[in-house]
This record gives sequence, structure tokens and C-alpha cells, in this order.
Amino acid sequence: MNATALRAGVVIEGLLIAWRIVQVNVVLYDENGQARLPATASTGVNAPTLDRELLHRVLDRNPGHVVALLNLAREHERAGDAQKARQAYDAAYALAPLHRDVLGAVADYYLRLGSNAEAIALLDRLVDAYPDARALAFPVLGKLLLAHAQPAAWSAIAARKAAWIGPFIELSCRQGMDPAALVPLLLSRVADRRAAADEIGCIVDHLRDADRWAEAYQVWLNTLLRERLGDVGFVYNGSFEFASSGVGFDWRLSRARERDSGHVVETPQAAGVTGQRALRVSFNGKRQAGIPVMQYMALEPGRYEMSGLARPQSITAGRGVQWTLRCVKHGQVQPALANSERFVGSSEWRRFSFEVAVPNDCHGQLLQLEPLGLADGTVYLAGTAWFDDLVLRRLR
Amino acid sequence: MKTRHLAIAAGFIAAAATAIAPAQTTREGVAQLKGVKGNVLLSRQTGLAAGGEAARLTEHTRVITTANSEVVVVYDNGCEVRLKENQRFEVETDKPCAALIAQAQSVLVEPAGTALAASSVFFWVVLPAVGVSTVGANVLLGPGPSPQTLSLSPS
Repeated sequence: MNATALRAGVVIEGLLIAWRIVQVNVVLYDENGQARLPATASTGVNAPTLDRELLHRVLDRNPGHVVALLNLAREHERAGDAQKARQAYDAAYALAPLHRDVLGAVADYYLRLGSNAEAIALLDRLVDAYPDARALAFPVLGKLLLAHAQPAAWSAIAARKAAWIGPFIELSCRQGMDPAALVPLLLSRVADRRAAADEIGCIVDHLRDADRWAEAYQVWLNTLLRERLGDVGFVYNGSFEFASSGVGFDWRLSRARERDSGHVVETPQAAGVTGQRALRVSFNGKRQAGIPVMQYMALEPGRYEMSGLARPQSITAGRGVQWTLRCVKHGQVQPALANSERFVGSSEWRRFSFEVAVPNDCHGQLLQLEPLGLADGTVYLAGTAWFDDLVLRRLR
Repeated sequence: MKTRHLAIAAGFIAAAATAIAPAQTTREGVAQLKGVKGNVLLSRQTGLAAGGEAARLTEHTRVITTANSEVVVVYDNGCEVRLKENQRFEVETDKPCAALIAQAQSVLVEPAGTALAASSVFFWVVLPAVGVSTVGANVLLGPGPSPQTLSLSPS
């Protein structure tokens, strides 16, 4: 009898403990460990306001409940009691200056007040400490940047080298923000050698696609190392001595898999060329897809001569390859302005050249190596084409 | 004797001419760079190249500065055009100095500031915890604009 009673007691006690666990973990506190506020009497979805008395009761029990404080602040704000609202926001911030909701809600409050400097400072800390808040806060920061709100605050953020600036630049650029507004931030990161290729590439590409070629080129120039500015040339790195970044107005070598593109592009060491390296494009005899090599340019209107060294090796099963220069307008590649001879068959290194006339309405161009007939349909190409010492010279 | 003097004189003239010739070559152009600071680029026949102190500039040469760079283009007639960072200037000769000075232009132009929305709208919603969070937000905060919208005020 005693044993049965004891067992029953243990079971009841176990059930009580289990209920308490459920109550504490599910009913009284949320998954973040925040105490749940008791439900208000008004439970309708469209209930206009929160019961301030209720919030006060919660705060009486736990004066450190910052979420309750923030809600109370908002209710005072709604009621038009600016002073009490300010006091509640200040109290929440004083209690938990790094709390995610405090940073977000107080920043929002400052934005409503028009106190943008304070808002930017809080948003800075929010996105710094809580990367998951960036998706929500970055567009707000973007609007503030576009509005030239508080340039001093932005300068301070740039000077602090905040880690979120890079993701902010890239996300804002990809979401269509005017890239010119992001350029000062980008240049501050370039100066610190912290700018990532994706940030630079997005801004330069967006400026270029908007036909803002001069700005795009200038931003790109700013990203080059000093030693590379000694001889930029119309054709950048025309001797292929340096690894291509694939960004801005540098060479863009196809990175597609050979089985997809039908070719491999490399810049290996080579004998009999200017410098040590040359461009080598190997065609595998299969169907060609895409352009193997290209470079954007921002040539002034006028006459030019393009020259270079070429060495085709067993280029068969097709009509060969050629260099073309085309205008680019609104991001669209236009018909060729000029093209080189066709490179087919085999030969030793030989010099080639062709003239180009850039018209007045052509502010940006694309130099590319094209398999002949690619635009007309299926092209099969085999063999190897070597190129080196590509130079574009202005003709007067 | 007379012939010897003539030969010596001719030698001097030839030597002087030889000495002067390179100087005339380096004086080609209508202006030169002064006070080069940072990266200054010049348009040459094959494209942009770095320009150093005292580099001579022919007509239609473009001078470009990058970030934290500056230079003064000094015309042989004394006109000085100062370029700050990220500016460009084309050397021309058929304009008065004031017009040339005004011609130095910034390449990177920040977009004009856009007005911030005057209306006050939520961008941040504090979710008070009462059961289902979204309902809880409505219960405790009342109806309001979407939490994804922006709160901006005029600066």
C-alpha cells in the first residue's frame, strides 16, 4: 500500500515537474528566453493599442524587461506623449545598449524624429552586431546614404572600417541603388585594400551598364595598384604578363568548364613573345559556347590602330577566330566596328593590325576574341590560338 | 689661320646646337605638370600612363587624377590649372585661362541627395511575446504599416 502510494506520489510529482518545464519553457518564456507578456484583454488582431497599464505591471515585476519598455515607449509615442516616449526609449537603451530590439527600435524612433545622425550610429551597431538584421537595415541605410544624411556619420563609419560596409556596398549595388552613391565608401575600402572584387565589379558594371563609362573607368582606375598605373594603356595588360582580375576594364577570361564552352583560356609562359607570358586559347574540336576572352574599353571617339602578335596552331574544323571591337550601349553589345584578320591553320608568331574608327556616340566598347560564325549558329573549332602584345594606338 | 678660326667657330656652333637640340625636344608641348601628388595619369598615344613632375603636355593631352592625388597643369604662358582628386582636364590652347581653370571637372559625381520620406513608417517591429508572434505583434502594437517598410524623416 505504502509502495503504491509512493509510486503514485512520484508519478504526480513527475507530472508536476513536467508541467512546470512546459510552462516555463513554452508558456512563460519564448524561445529566446524573453519572458512572455501576458495577453491583453483585447485580443483582436486590429486592437489599436497596447494596454499601458499592463505594460507598467510587467515592468513593476521586472523593471529590466526591455521589450516591455520598448512597447511602452511606442504606446506613449502613439498617444502623443513625446516626453514619456523618450524616457522609455532612453531607459531601454540604458538598460541594454546592445540588445537587438533596442538598437532597431530606438534607431527607428530617431528616424521618426528626424535625428538621422543618432539613427545611423545605432544602425551601425545593429548591423555590426547582428548580421541577420542587415537585410532589414541595409535598405534604410541606403536611403540615408542617398539622401546625403549626416555625411560626418558616414565618414566616421568609413574611418572605423566597419566590417559591414563591404556587404552593404555589394547588396545595395545588386539591389539597384545608384552605384555612384556607393563609390565614396568603396574608395575608402580600396584605400585600405579591403575592397573585394565583387564590390568593385558590381559598381563598375552597374555604372558601365548605365552608359556612365567615364565614371566606371575612373572607379576602376582607382582600384588599380600604383605599380599598375604606370602603363594602363587603351588595352590593359595587353601583353598578358599579369593575372587577369576579370573585374572592370581588365581582361575577362572565360571560366566556363571546357566541356560546356569547348575551349580553355590560359596565360602561360611562352617562348618567342614580348615579356614572359602570352594568351593561349585551346579549342577542343567540340561545339563552341561563349566568348573566350574579352575586355571592356572606354575609348574616346576617333581613329585607332589595333595591333598584336598571333600564332595559330592547327586551327581547323571551323572558320577560325578573330578579334573584334564593338560598341556597347545600355549594356547591349552592338555590331562590330572593326575586326582583325581571321586566324586559321598554323603559323609562327606574326604581327597583325587593323584600324578602328570609334564614332562619336560610342562611349564604351568591347574587345573580344570571337570564333567566326558564333552569332550565326553552331560553331565547331579545334586547335590553339596564341596572342601577345596587344596594343591600341591613337591615330591623329 | 682664318680657316682654323672658322673651323673652331663652326665646331662651337655645332656643339651648341647639339646641346640645344635635346632641350628643344623636351620643351615640346604647351604646358607641364607641377606639384604632382599621388597618381596622375596622362593620355598618350597608346593610352593612359603615369605622369611625373615636369612632364610636358601637348595639346589635347588628358590629365587624370585618382583618389588622394592632385597636380597643377602649368601652361607656358603662365596659366595654372589645379586638379584635385578624381578630376580630369584636357590640355587646350585656344581658351582664356579662366575658361581652362573652369574646365577641370570631377569625374565621380555624387548623385543629388534624394528627399527622405516625410511620413513616419515602421521599419523595426519589436515583437512582444504573446503566443503566436505575428498575432502578438498586432495585439500588442496594434495595426501599423508593414514591418518591412521604411521609417525616414526629413533631415
